Amino acid sequence: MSNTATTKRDIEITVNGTRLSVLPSHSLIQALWKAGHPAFKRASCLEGVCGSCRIMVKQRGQATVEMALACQSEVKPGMQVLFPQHLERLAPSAQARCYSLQSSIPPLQQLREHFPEVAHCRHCHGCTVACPKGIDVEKGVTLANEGALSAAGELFINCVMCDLCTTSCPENIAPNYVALFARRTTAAHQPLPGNLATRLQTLQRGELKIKY
Amino acid sequence: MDNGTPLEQARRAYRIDLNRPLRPSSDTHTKLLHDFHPDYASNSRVPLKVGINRNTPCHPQLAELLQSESPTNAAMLSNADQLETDVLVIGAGGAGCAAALLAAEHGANVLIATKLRMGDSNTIMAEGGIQASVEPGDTPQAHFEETLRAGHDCGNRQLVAQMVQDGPEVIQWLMQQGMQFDRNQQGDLATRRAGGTSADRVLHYRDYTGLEMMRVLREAVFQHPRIKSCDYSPAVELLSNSDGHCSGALLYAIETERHIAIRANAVILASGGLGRMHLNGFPTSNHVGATGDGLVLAYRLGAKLQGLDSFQYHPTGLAWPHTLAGTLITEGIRGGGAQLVNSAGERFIDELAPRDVVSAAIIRECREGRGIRLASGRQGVWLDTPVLAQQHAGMLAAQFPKFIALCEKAGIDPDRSPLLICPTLHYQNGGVVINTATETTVSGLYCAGEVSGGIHGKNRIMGNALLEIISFGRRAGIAAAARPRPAHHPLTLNHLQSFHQAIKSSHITNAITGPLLFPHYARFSRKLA
Ligand SMILES: Cc1cc2nc3c(=O)[nH]c(=O)nc-3n(C[C@H](O)[C@H](O)[C@H](O)COP(=O)(O)OP(=O)(O)OC[C@H]3O[C@@H](n4cnc5c(N)ncnc54)[C@H](O)[C@@H]3O)c2cc1C
Ligand code: SF4
Ligand code: SF4
Repeated sequence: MSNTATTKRDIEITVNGTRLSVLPSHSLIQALWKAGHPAFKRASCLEGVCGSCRIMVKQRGQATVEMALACQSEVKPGMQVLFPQHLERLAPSAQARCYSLQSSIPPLQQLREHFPEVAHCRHCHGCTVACPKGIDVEKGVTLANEGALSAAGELFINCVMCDLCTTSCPENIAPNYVALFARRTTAAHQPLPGNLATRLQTLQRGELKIKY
Repeated sequence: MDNGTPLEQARRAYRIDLNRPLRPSSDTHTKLLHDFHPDYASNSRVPLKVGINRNTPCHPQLAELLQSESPTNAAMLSNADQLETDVLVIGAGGAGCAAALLAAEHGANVLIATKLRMGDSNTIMAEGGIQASVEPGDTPQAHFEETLRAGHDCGNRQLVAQMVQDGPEVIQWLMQQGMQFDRNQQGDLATRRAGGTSADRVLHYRDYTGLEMMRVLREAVFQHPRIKSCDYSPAVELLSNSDGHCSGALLYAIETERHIAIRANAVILASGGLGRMHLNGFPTSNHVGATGDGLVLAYRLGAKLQGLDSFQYHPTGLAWPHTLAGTLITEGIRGGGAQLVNSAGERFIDELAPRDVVSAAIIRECREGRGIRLASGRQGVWLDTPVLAQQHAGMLAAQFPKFIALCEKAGIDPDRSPLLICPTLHYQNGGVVINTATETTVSGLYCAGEVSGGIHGKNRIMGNALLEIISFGRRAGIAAAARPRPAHHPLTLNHLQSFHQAIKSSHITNAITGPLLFPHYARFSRKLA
């Protein structure tokens, strides 16, 4: 652990096809800002929870392209970066997602209706490899397919909805939306917690009014 | 400042000590605040010169923004694409999404417009949790009194009373939307204690409370057939009709570089805070879009503001490494037993005293030479996590996955090494004046969330912001949907002209134009042709 004081020496990277000189020891977002170029709009939280600054990166000397979050990626000499545009539009349509949490149709049946492609998973690991949060996405899809919705959802606690897994799936499965469905139905079907239920009843009886 | 112990030296000197006594101090909380809190410094307020809050004290940087000229003109409005909706919601954080959902449920067609991606917000970053009195030993009354006391009795009693009474129902509603909360073995909601309170009242989902909330609300918004969304399209001005009422907003679509004029029967402003203005040069915990736009827009239209000289500096922002400076470390970690320790190895303040007091105490240690100094000259103190790890093995990993991820990124093992922290600009305590139905002083303009003021007085306790945004966000949606439809007036920017005149006649010269939309270092520029 050494103090990474910035050196003034610049390094060369390529962003969306343009070669740029940036300061080392910074995240990609910070480095681009400091270099004043390009005015980049797809960053928000800068701490890896909003999932908006997704990128594809090819490091110098590496054959494969990795998926990552720009605010969490340190600039490295020779790295090639692509900020994909319009990833939102790859998300499943609202139509496909219009399940109902309050419906009497059992969750598993809703999964089959709204996300039928889940049954076609070919276990290629594409989604898992893509995930910048290290989630075992494929296992989540498998569990959902087996009907273990709660267990499936549990794997996605730190999912930032960056859609990179969805982008990577050859079967048009949208694993993060399947997981969100699983998590939400699990929550909505749990019994009300005892302490909350008691308090709600007390309030409904008109007790515990505020005096001021 | 060249006092303080250099980082490497302090790191070598650090020892784990489970029995560190609290250094006795004769400084009262009041004295600490007056001597060391940035809000209390003599240069921290100037009177506003124009607008409805003329002569109200305001932070100088914010005053400059509120009294700035607008680059928007009538030609942009007449050349803009046109859209119409019943309710326009500005901002897609927790307050905006809750408002949109309730307005739509009450029959309105809703358009939700936001600066960045849907859900990019301070809400998504919230860690510690949300307040609601649900434990048997706790009452809404205690929640009410402690909220007011923490805010130095400057909060609006009616707003606070309504909010704390909404608490349990807000939690139930969030669960119905599919949000998970941590539970204990009996299936009850698990609770934590916030600094400055007497009961365990903070409900949470790990340290991802905001992420869990935002994932769920964003999806619910996408799913609703009566809600349309418009991302990467900040509001750059509100629009008025001939009566001066709010009748819509002018958006700027970043991708197409075109303006869009939205005519709306009611507008809900839910654009959040201003941490990215970096008041007094502080780092911030806020997301990139938190540039105080809502305050500027509302003020130009004549909406009354309050509490413009009161901000929250959260005690524990990461100070090192510099690339992560300002990143928040949740108060939950101190709630779990982590201590604040100066370069002399002393504890110097009750870690769970109110946030403003803890921050002031940290600043005192640094000013008086007991801080830990970075090469840049910035100073901090230790957040001693190893003492927590020794007392509650496994607690950090089980309850604070977001914190652990931050430590990994920083290359710090929190079980063995303390973290260097310093106060970070976190929250705007004041904002647009609202009533219990979220109406502002301008007809047709409603406000909810961090952009509004009145609840937290001069200091906010952990978990009350998330409660506020859902409690008032839902109410804003209901009120806006119920607004009677006014006669069809042309959309105008007339209020800008009168504001411009007032600036001119007060001889204000300003280097900036507002709203800022992005912090200066993001180098955003709007195409103004
Ligand atoms: C790191 C962090 C941790 C926190 N932890 C907690 C916690 O544990 N508990 C708690 O109670 N509170 C916490 N807070 C505070 C709390 O999260 C916020 O106060 C709250 O979420 C604000 O919600 P909001 O909906 O009002 O604003 P935001 O969630 O910030 O949403 C505002 C929205 O408006 C958009 N916007 C801004 N300007 C414009 C414009 N001109 N046009 C269109 N859209 C615009 C933004 O992009 C954003 O989408 C935390 C805050 C931070 C930063
Ligand atoms: S599961 Fe998918 S959406 Fe979630 S973080 Fe991983 S790649 Fe992103
Ligand atoms: S990428 Fe698609 S097909 Fe491949 S494992 Fe993941 S879900 Fe299955």
